[in-house]
Amino acid sequence: MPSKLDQTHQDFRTELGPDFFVSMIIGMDGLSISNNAAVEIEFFAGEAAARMAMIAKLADKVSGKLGIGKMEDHLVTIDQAYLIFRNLGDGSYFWLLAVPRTAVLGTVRMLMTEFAPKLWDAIPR
Amino acid sequence: MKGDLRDMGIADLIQHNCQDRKTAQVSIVHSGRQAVLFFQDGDVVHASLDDKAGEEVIYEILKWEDGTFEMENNVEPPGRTIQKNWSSLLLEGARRLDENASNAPQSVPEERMEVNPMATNMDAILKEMGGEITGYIASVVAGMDGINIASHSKGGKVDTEAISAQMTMLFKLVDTATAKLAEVQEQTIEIEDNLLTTEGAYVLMRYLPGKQYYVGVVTDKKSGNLGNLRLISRVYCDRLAKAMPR
Repeated sequence: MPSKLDQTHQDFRTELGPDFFVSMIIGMDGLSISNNAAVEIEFFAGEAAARMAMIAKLADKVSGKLGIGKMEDHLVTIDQAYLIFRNLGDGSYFWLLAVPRTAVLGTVRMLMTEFAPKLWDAIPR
Repeated sequence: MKGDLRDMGIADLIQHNCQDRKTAQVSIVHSGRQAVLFFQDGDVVHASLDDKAGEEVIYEILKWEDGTFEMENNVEPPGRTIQKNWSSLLLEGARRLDENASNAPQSVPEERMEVNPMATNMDAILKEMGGEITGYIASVVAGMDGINIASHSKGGKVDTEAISAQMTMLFKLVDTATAKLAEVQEQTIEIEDNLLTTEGAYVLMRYLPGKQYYVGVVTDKKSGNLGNLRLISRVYCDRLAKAMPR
């Protein structure tokens, strides 16, 4: 039986539809605690989780230094995909989502806003 | 698909439907009024609101900040009332929004836009770009060493050096991570832009051609518009690159 976190992850993927590559919940320690992927995630699951945690931390720090409020999300647009980072709850975990460029970015962000608190609630504590 | 304009603005809706080359009908409801847009072959080809139709409807509804929308795919347009391409429509819409914001409600005639002297130095180009971005706060052109080569801020009160320094650190780290991803996947990956959304602002970074420099733009989140920010910054990248001193 899938955990509540994995189930919430799956619910998000179902809602989003086919425009999906990878979704991961990663701790600020750089370790992934839940993955849902439509593509090979070897890179994401290993070293990349740590790299992505560094980016999320720095993005949060930059927001603070510039005095523009707490970071809500961070979008990196590459030629094949959108990579979106979003802090969860108290910021001890973040959500990394990769979707193809065919995805409707506004819809993706809207669904992430809806599911971020659900994922945070589903993280075992 | 249904949604809320507070989550996805009208400029974003138009941009994404056009970029995806969708054939679709989008109905948008705001304060009891309903506008209907039709998309075909990468453009918005028809729009209606009350007894109006055509481009003016787009300019009118770009002011709507709240409301709901519903999209139905594969609906053919009943006719064509819009000839301009979608990016020109959004640019003109952005101009009109800026004019409204500064209490100058009359639109800039197209002829006047075309004969405007083009700014040639980078600071002037940034200033001009800022005039087209809703909620604009500041912009910089900086190298990957974090040093500004041009900057502009609304009212001149923003520390653009600090913005460049912080943006560059973040951009370099993102670049390193994506380079690693490319290496593992044995393919090339090009970063197009990097957008940080905070409680108060949007911070967008976009490489200039050659990737030695980037343009960074900060806008107010409440009054800014994400689609407008990404579109206008993309449009100005080439001009900034051409004006780069060598």
